[in-house]
Amino acid sequence: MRIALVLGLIASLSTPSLAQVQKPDPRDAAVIVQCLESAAANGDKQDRCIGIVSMPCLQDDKTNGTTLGMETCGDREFAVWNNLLKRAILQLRSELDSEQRAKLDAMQDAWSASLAGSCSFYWDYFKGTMAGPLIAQCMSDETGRRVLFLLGFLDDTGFLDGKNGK
Amino acid sequence: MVRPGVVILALCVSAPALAQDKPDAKDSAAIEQCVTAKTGRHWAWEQCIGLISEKCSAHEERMSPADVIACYAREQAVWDDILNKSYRALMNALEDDQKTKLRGMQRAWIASRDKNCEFLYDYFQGSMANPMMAACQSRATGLQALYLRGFADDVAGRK
Repeated sequence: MRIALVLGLIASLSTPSLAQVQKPDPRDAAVIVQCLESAAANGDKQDRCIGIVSMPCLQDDKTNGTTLGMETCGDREFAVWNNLLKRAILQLRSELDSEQRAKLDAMQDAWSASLAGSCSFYWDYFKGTMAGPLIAQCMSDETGRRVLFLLGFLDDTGFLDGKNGK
Repeated sequence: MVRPGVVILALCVSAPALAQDKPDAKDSAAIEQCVTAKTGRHWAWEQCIGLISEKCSAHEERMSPADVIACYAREQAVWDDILNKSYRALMNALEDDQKTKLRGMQRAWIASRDKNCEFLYDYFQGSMANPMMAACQSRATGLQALYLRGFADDVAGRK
């Protein structure tokens, strides 16, 4: 969705890959959790928290003008959302009955398949290393949206309280 | 147990099976205008999702579930139209292997969207789930429409 923006920022080529699963930076995690809490407290849409780490990273010229650097921006934010996602699924599973848990698992499997297809399509479409940052951003954005969807089932259980996605 | 937060989130979010066949021309124009305005360095197409439905269902508490569902169906019709046009434009421009990937991706997305939105019913297990499912379907369709639109615009720009 931010295809044109990211394309416009690409300055050189590097090796593309699906986002690397790395440990979230505590500062990045804190930025996202604070954004989620602030949005919830103010009645704002939490969607605005998606991109809050990767977009400034891309736009503040912290990428050294390389696609690898740009991928890092998406990977950094993906690490936070992915961690939150894993926790959200675990917590939700623990609250559901067995029938609902099976539905949750099936839903999550379908989402994972869709995520892989959607993000890898950047590679299929561009057929070049410039797809790397787009894939990283796609993984991060979609995982963020997934967390927000699942948070809707958890948000009166203090999921974010005292936790920062570490 | 009904959690208000879930209702708010789900209604802020968005489904295609309920969509009306043809979008209202004014609704389509409003969405197009929004997409154009949100293009550029501060890319924010996602902010156009909910443009029609949120205004239409602003007084949801005083509306019947059917009327709320109609609001989401109204917006979904616009997104369905954008999605279908973008998909067709891509199919017409891509190579055979890319078409296969696109088709597979779209099928995976449909399966995921249906399971996501049905989960709202599985979770709430009541009639209040219906407007939430409509909202879920509309939002999901909007996101996918914009995703495909990004590629379709790129294809158009290459001509």
